Parts: sequence; C-alpha cells; structure tokens
Amino acid sequence: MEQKNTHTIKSLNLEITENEYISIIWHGKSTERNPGNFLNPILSETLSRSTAEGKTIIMDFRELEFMNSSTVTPVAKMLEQGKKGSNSITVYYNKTKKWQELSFSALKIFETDDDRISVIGN
Amino acid sequence: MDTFIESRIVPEWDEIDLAREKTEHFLSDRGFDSDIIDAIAMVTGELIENAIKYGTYDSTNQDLSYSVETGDTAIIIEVKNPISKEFDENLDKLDKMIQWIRGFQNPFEAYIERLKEVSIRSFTDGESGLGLTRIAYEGQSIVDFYATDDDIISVSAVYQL
Repeated sequence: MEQKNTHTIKSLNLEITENEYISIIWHGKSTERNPGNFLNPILSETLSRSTAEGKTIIMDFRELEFMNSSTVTPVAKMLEQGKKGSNSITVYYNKTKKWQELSFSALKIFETDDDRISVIGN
Repeated sequence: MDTFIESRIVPEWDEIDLAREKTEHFLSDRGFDSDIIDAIAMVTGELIENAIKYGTYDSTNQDLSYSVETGDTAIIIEVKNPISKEFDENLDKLDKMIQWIRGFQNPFEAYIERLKEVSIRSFTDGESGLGLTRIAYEGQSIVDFYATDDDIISVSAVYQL
C-alpha cells in the first residue's frame, strides 16, 4: 500500500511516498538558516526505514529551485551514511540547470561501484 | 541603464531571499542568462548569510550592505558588515578558508574536499562551512576581503564573464 507524507518549512516542501521505494521529491527553495534542524530527522528516519524494510531511497531534486549551502550538508551526510551502511539511494537532478549540474554532480563522490548509491542527471 | 545596485539591509535572515530576488531582477533586466543569474544570486545569498552569521551587531550598528556591479568582463558582488573591535576569530577563519581554497588548482577540488569533511559529521552537527567553497566552485567566483580601521569587513566575489 502506498503511503504519502508531506513536510513543509517555509518555501521548501518534501513529498515522501512509500511503496516499493521510498521517494523524497524536493520542491521549492531551501533557505533556512539551519536547514538540518528540519531535514536531519526526516533523512535519518528515511535511512532507518530503508534499512529495516530493504527499500531503495529515491531523492528527486529536479523540481528544487534553490538551496543554500547549509542544505547540502544534510544531503551529503545521508549519502555518506547510506554508503557506509547497506542502503540503496538514487539521486536525480536536472542537468539542464547549470546550478543543479554543478551542485549535484559533485555528490557523485558518494557513488558506489555496485550502484547502491548513484547520482543521475537527466 | 545602471550597472550597479546597492542596498542597506538589517541583519535578519528573511532579508536574504529579498536580496537574492533583487539581484535576480537586476541581472535579468540587463539580459544576463539564467545560469549566470542563478550563480550570482547564490553568491549574493551566501555572502549575506555569512555576514549575518559572523558579523558583530549591536543596537547602534546594524549596518549590513551589499552591492552588485556588472562590467564588460566581470560581475562583482560585495557585502559589508561590522566586525568585532577585538581580535575576531571569524575573520581569522575567513582568511584561512580563502587561503585554503586558493591552495587548490581548481575550486572543484576544494569543494569536494569540504564536502567529504562535512559528510562524515554526525546529523546533530549543524555547521556547514561549505559556503565559500561553493561560491568558488558553483559560483565560479574569486573571493577576497579587507577590513577597515573602523571595523567594517568587505567581502567581495568576482565572477568573470
């Protein structure tokens, strides 16, 4: 059964859908002073559920309009923890937007040889 | 058409979005493409974030200003804010971070190094420290600063066109 949840803070909206995957679709702008206060519990919980249920996490940033640098940190931490653990995480970004191409292609450093962690621009 | 905008703002977080939007409109009206506008707006926002986080403000001194100037070969973003009259640890950190970034041949390498560092911190560690390396890498800008005798710091970023 599909479950949907939405988490919103100011102009940032995370739409979380759980079916055979756990997908997090990012909408809007992430401009909080400490976005980790909002993001870390959500991302940490998602990692835990992914581990417990053996589900792949999809992080979809293609609709994200802007994020400040403080937003990159929770995402990088999640990918690093997923890499160390047994999680599968696929990140999608919009490579036609230069800022997304620059920001998210850098996250390829977290990719694993077995494609458990992958970062895809399309 | 003017090639320069300057604004004085109060050091409050909500001002950052407004400054980014004002920068976007300024550059859009002058025909810059969206990739450049995104980069300069991001740089403006990151510099003002740092000014708010690390500036020293009191009831008599809330002076934070930013400017964006377009030229034939470059766009210059400058943010000014008050700093402590005593030894300022943040100024020292800023100086070291700029020198550290300059030590890399390519700002991408500096950004990746920083990304690796922050990624291994726990979820409870709220520090980012990515801002300046992001300005250098994603913002494709050269960052510099100077401090004046009246305890104002000016941090600038130069984006080559």
